[in-house]
Amino acid sequence: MAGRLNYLVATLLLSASAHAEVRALYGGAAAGALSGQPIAFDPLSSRAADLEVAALIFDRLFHVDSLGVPRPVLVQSLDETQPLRPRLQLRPDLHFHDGRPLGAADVVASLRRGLADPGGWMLGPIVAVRTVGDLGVELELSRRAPDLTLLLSTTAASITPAGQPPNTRLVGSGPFVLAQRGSDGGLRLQPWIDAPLGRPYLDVLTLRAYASPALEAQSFDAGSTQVTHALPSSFGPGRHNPSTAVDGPQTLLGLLCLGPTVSAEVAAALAVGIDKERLRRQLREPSRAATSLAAPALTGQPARPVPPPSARPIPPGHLTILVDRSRVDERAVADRLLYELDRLGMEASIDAADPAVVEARRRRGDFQLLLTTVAPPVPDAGLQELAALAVIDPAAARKTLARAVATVGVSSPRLIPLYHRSGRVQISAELRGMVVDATGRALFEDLFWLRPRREARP
Amino acid sequence: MRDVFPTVWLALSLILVLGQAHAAPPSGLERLVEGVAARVEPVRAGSTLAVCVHGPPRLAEMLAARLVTRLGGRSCPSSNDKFERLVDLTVTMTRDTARVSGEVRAPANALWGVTEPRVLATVFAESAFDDELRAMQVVAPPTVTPPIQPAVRPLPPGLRSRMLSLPDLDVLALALADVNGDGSAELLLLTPTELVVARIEPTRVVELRRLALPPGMSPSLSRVETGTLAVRGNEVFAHASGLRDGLHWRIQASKGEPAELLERWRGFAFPGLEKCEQMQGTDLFQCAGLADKVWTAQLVTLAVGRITVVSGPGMASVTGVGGAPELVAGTQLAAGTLRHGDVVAFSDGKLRGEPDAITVRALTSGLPVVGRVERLFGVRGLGFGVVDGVPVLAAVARDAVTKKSELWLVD
Repeated sequence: MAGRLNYLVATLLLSASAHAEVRALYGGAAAGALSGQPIAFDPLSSRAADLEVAALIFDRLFHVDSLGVPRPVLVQSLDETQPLRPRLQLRPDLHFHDGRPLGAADVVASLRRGLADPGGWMLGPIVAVRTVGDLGVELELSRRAPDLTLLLSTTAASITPAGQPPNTRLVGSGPFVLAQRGSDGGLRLQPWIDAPLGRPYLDVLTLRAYASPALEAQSFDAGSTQVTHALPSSFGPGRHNPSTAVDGPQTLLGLLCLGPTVSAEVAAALAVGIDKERLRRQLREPSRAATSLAAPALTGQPARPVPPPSARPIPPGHLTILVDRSRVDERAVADRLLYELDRLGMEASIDAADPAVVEARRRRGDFQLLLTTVAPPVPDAGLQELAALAVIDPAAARKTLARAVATVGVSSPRLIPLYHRSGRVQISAELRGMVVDATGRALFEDLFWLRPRREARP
Repeated sequence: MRDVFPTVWLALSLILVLGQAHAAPPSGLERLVEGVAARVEPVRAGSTLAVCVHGPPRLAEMLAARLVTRLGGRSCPSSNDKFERLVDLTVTMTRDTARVSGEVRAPANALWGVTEPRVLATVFAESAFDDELRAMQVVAPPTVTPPIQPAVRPLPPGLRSRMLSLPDLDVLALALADVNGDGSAELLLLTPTELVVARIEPTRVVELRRLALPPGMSPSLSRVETGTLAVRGNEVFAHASGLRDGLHWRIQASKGEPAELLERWRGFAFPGLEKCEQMQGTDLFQCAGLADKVWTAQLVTLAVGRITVVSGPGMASVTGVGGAPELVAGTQLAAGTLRHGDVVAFSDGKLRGEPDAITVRALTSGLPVVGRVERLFGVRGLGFGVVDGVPVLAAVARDAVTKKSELWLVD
């Protein structure tokens, strides 16, 4: 939590231009591009594209506000008189999108799912959870937890009806309601008027993943998409859609994970041999080469200079880099990584697989090299390091958190931090209110038009 | 042996001196510190602590510093600081005794900002005066903002403006009203959790009191917080949108002494418009008698007649001048009287980080501009009243990044 101040400064500077003194207008439609192809929309997923959508559909018990302070969302009060058995009292009159009341049974079932699922490692100190009446929830903790509200602000504390994994209907209590799923995988969302933190401003939000940056840029150019990850330089020469960039703090970690079959010698050679500075230049967003798993923007420590790459003898062999084909940024980095491995005298190839395949192989540890991006679950350096560890060993991350509050210092020879970058989106100049937070998420719920416009025709 | 002797002698002397020092009776201040610590430690349970001491400034400051040294933690926190226990103390001086009383409160207050603080222990300690305490016996002046030279910006002939700095307050609405019967309007500021009452002096704003709004989260939050503040005769109605209930503050004279009644109040009211409802999940209000959903509104009877001003999404209007509504720009609006007649004032409503402005127009046909104050922080509220016999327009402006707040007065 040491880096909170630094994060706050970054956030305040960002939000200074993002939040308007002029009152936001309700209405209008906007379309946005997802950072990758979602596969499950499950808040317990570790994939950014899944979490981007899940955060719009499902509420967490708490959320971290723009000042980095956890604030209640579904909770009315927290009684910590017994530090190892805190009690949450839920807000009355909460409802899921289908009109069903949201009560303690849903919270207990959702947290129990998180306790049983590897993706719920952030609930580490929670041993058991039970209902106390219709709106009361008692937690049993393995330790005193001053970080409890922070942990309950993570996606692991998202509440689904009866704790069920999201099905095709995607019913939550979050700011947006799923109105329609398109044949192209696109999602048409509408505001939820009973959203616990208030109704979003847009009347319609359409989200979809694009197969290539060129298609995404084309769609932005044509005015069909108003929020994009594409660079302005990729827009057409006679573009008609003026835009502005919105950057978050540099908290997203580019991570190279080494599978169990990779030898310690290769791991040691890769750790010192990759030219991270050249690698990060492949990125579209502001970035810096990484020397630690935790982002300097979260630790508050100045970034250490990256030592120049040094070559170590590498045993002959062939490595495969597994990468999500829907993640454009990671594919570009993988290409450069191929060159780096070649420079080190190692044969390598890229295995660009479908998102679901990558996720399944990650869970099984069925990869040699996995290139991925790790977002901090909340703006906290210690939890970001555990999130990186959870990519290869969620049980270890959960166990660490069960023992003590997350602190900086986690490392593993199987985790090579490559770079820290910001989340960046390019938005139409007529849009306001967009913020990219420290978890890299674009906050679509705060987006509004200066002059609300109707839905663009496809 | 001869070499060792001085060392032994020095050691013995030190022990003697330390022993004498240890045996010295604790000072009055130390007795207060130990008395407070004895009450705090049993309920602290390893929690992070914040210590807030009110009273004579030198003594309060010294006591807070000593308690922080003794117990750990920090002194009086700001609204964003995190702590798990708040030690909230008031120190009072009688003729020959210093007395500390207060409470140790639980974390809910810090975390939620809006829930009822839980009292874990009451604190009481006292000590007879000694020289140290006597030296600190200075009567506390009221809390004041640092006096500054009023900044004056040129306006067209007839209007003047000046600026006074304010403490950092997240102002949702403001009003000017004479709530203490002294013949001059006080400044009322509504924040997300409090109603702040302050006196406007020529070069400073003096905070008189803070009234906490009833705790309890609203079942219907909006993405930005808003609120309504209305004064009707000797009654004040204040409600911030993040809270379930508002505050009804009634001031009345009883047997020659001012008396007051503070009670929960459910509802929203703009000046002159008493029956308003917040639209579910939004920062918009629907008021009886108004067709549109509004951000802010006012119905006021002036020399020129009954004037209604409203601002809402895509519109801002003044009704009552020449019959038809006259459209103006603006986010914050208010109508009232200045020395030169009845006017309407409105803010530009710029994006945060961009300078805002207040425009004053005469309430005559065509709404001619009579003055404009430019290069302001974001304007949070406007109100009219009579301060020290002079009719003024008051505006609170706040910089969203630096949290610096200013009070602008136009007359």
